[in-house]
Amino acid sequence: MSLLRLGLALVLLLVAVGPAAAAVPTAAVVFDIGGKMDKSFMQLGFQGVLAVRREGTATLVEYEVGDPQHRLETLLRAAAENTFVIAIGSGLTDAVAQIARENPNRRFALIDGEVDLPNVAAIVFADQEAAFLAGAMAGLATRSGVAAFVGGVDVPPIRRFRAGFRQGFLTTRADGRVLTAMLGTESTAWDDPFSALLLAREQVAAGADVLFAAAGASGLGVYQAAEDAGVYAIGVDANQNYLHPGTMLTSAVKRVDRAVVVAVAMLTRDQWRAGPTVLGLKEDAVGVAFDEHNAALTAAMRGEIDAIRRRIIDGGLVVDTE
Amino acid sequence: MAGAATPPPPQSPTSAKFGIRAKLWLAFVAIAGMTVLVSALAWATFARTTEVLDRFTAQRIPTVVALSQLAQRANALVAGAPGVIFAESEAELTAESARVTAAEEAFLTVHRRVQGALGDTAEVRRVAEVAARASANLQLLRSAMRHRWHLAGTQTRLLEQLEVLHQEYRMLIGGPDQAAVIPWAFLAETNRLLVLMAGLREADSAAEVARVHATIDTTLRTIERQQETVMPLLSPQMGAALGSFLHRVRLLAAGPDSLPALRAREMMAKEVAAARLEDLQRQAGDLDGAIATLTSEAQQLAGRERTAATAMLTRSKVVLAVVSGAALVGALLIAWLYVGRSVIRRLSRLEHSMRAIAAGDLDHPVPVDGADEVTAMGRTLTTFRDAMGRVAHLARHDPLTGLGNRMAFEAAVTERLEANDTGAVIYLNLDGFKDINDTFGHSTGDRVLVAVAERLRRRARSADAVVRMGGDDFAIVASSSGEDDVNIAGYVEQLSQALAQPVDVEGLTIEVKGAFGISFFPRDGRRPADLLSRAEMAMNNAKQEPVGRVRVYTPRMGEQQQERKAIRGELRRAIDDGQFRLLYQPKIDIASGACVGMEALVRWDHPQRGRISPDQFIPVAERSGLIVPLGEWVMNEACRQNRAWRDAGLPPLKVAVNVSAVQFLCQDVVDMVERALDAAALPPQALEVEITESIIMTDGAKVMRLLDGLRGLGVSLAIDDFGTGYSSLSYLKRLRVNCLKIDQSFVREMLRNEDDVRITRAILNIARDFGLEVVAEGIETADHVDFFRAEGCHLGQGYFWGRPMEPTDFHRFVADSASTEGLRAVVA
Repeated sequence: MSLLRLGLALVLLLVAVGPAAAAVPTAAVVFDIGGKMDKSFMQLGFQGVLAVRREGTATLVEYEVGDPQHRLETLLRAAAENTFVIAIGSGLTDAVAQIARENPNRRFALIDGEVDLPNVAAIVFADQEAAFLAGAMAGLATRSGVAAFVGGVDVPPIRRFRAGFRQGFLTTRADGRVLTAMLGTESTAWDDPFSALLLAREQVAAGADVLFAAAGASGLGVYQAAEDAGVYAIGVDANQNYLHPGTMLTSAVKRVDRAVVVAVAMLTRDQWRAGPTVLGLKEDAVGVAFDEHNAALTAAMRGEIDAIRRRIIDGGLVVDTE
Repeated sequence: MAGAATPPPPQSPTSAKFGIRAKLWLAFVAIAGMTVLVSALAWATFARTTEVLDRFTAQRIPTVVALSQLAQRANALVAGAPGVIFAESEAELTAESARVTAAEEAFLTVHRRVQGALGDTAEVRRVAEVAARASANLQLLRSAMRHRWHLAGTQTRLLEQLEVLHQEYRMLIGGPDQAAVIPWAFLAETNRLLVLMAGLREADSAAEVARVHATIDTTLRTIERQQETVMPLLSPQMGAALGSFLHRVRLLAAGPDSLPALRAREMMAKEVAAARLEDLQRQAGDLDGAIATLTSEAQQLAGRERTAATAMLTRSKVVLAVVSGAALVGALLIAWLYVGRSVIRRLSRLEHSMRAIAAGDLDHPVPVDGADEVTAMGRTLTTFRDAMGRVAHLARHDPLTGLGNRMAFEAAVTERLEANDTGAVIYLNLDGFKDINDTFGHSTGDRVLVAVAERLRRRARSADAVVRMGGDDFAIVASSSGEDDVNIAGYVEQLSQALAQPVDVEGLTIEVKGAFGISFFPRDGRRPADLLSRAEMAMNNAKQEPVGRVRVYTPRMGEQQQERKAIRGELRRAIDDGQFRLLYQPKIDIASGACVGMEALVRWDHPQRGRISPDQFIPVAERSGLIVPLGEWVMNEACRQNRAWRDAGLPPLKVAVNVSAVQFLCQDVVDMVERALDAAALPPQALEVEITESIIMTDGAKVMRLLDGLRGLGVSLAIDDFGTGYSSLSYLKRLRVNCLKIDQSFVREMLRNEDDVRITRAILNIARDFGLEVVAEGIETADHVDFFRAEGCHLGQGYFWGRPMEPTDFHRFVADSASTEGLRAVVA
């Protein structure tokens, strides 16, 4: 037995030595505000980092912005220390544009933001498609006919979410009404759950019984408010169903982890493509989450959602982005 | 007997296809195989034990360690709450937040390890989910605390402004004129508002804040209503100052950033923080519980694996013990079956057989079962036994006739004597076998012996042993219920009759006769040699019988034997001492009755025993060689006596002297006769040498030469006892005798037996044809005389004329007969 094991170990060693000879490329990963433990967007990105590490296709060095004022500084440091830089979060869009322009010999991959430069690959999500499905589910689940949308900051991805959510809600609840609000204008709005909680309370008071938050870590306040008030909430980016079982209707998922893997591939292998790359339902990079924690989910609802999903993929249903 | 069976061809040991070597190899290989099997099992058990141990050290222990780490990390995560609550600055709060993030990451790292070890189960996921909920709560708590901290700061600034407003209010009412102008109620309401707002700081529950807020609202509205009526009463400066004052008061008392609103939000943040903290405490408990569940699950898993490993080891032990036991039993069985039973037992049986065979039991069975080296040994032993059997057979049997030999005889007698049986030893000797050998050759003689043996064997009773003692001597050891002479006699008669049939050998028909002697045991002896010699003695006696040639041993025979022994001992001295004398029997011319000669007959007058018959001592002398000096003495004495009688005036007589065949063999008879004649100065015509037919059977050529010599001397020759032995007419021709003497047995029986008469006539005719003289012996009566005279026989001899007589008597007889001869002639 032990001999067999020894032999196996030898084979593994030989196999391992081969690829190790060719240097594994190194890339920087920069997390924006919210942090990699935000149970949402950034944490998904972190899972992508872990996936890449498991595959061993690249060595990834992590950077965290932490404070909005440190964005440029952090990015600059990442670009100085690495050839390839992956920036996670639309909040980094301006900083990436500036640093990329200043460092044309570095390649950047921006996830969830758009920069038009030859050394920047922009990976964006078809957020509206995920939000459409979430909205459709909200329309099927609502009793009052009023749904609420809480956005973080008024930026394009959030606007896409809002548009998709509204359209989807009205698709399944034609007489419905959608309350929308943005938490703030500063990036601190992504990390202000208490304010979000207060806002959500107001929306519930205004009759909303399904709350959709696309506000990063601030969403946690919305979900807490929904649970406190006994209404439904919809998570965003990651599958957040488990945070409040029985309250979470679903989550509009953005596979940021997959985007990180795609970004590593684009940067370190011969798949470089400058400009925007959109990942949507078709690529299975966005969607709604189904698990044991979904509230008010019925088989009929699921069937209807699947049908809508197919229609969007087929192109039979076009989702608004504004 | 086993020896008669054809011995199997010797086999080389290697011809055993599945022999001991193969069996031993098989046994060794089997035992080695079992050992290998047991070793392999032990090895496998060891390997599995090691594997279980490996899994324990490599998986289970790290899992338990990881779970305890997980618990630590969870505690660290939850422990972030106090830090958040007691943070005293924004920076502190941010640092605390970073610490919580790090703690959560560390928790997730350990959790992934646990997930790898325990699998992605619902319980494992639940731990992460509970931790994530706790983390979410922490973030919410942190956010609420930051807001509270902010709100508190803002309120402090607003309260400072309120204090300034309070100063302004005192200045307003402190002026000498203004107090009278402004109504008291208005002033009181304003004062009340300022006090209420300052008192908000003291309200520390949402409900109280809401109550104070409502009172503030009401008071503000009352003040605003009264302002309408108060303003016109004041001077423009006063009015402007009051307006400004009230505006700033209003800013503090109403609106989203007013003191009550901020205080309400602060209360709300406090509430949320309290609720989240409560949640956190619950979740900490949940987390502890979930981790404890995982730990106990891991421990249970380890326990189950331990139990399974123990069970497996026990099973392995049992299997090992069973297989070892089976291997041991197998080895023992192989040892017992192959080596023990198949080899050792058979070897010991073989050894037993060897001992038995070595002890002389040549009929002992030899085990030859199986097909290995032991079998080959058995076959070899069989061959050896059979060879020994043949040797024993040869030792006890006569190769010519297949009968037993002297040893077999002794064995047979000993066996019967030991069994206290009674029985008889019958001794048989053939008559004239030597003649058969001499006449027809040894091969014919052998065939006769074989024929005789065959007849004896066939006629003998099955229980009796027939043996050949050598030569033409046979013996039969017969068992009988008692010393029944009659029975034995009848038995011997049967044997005798069986013998009497002529034997046909290569066209010849040979008459076989024999003499039987019988001795009985245990009466006549208890030793085989004694019994044999006594039976032989009886046989020798029987030989001397003309008919009924069977004799039973009597002690008397023994005495005779003793006598013969004595005679042999004393014969030499008797010759030297001149104890012998010659008697003379007259030979008569039948026609004239005149005595024409005499036969010299030797007599022994023993000083103690008296006269001894020639029948007794002549055979002894012949056997001992003393016949030579005795014969010489007889010849000399006969010649001397004849000379003496001649000298005494008796008519010339021819003296007949018997010369034994032994003398012809042992000495120069011609020389001896010549010397005797010379010594007596006797003419050869006065001497007749009598020989017997048996002379020719010895050494034909030498005898013929001696006979020629005698004839050359002028001595006449006579055949004595003609017609008794193997009388052959050719002898007459070859021996060229002058005279033929008809045996007295013919003459004696003649008057009773017609055959004898015819034989006698035939002999006479032959003699006449050959021109021979004939002497009829044993003439006892006148009838005999008449017969021979009638048949033309010239000479006779017998008691009718005279017995053998002393020389003096003979002298007188001759003298008398000479004197009476003339008388008789006259009478005739």
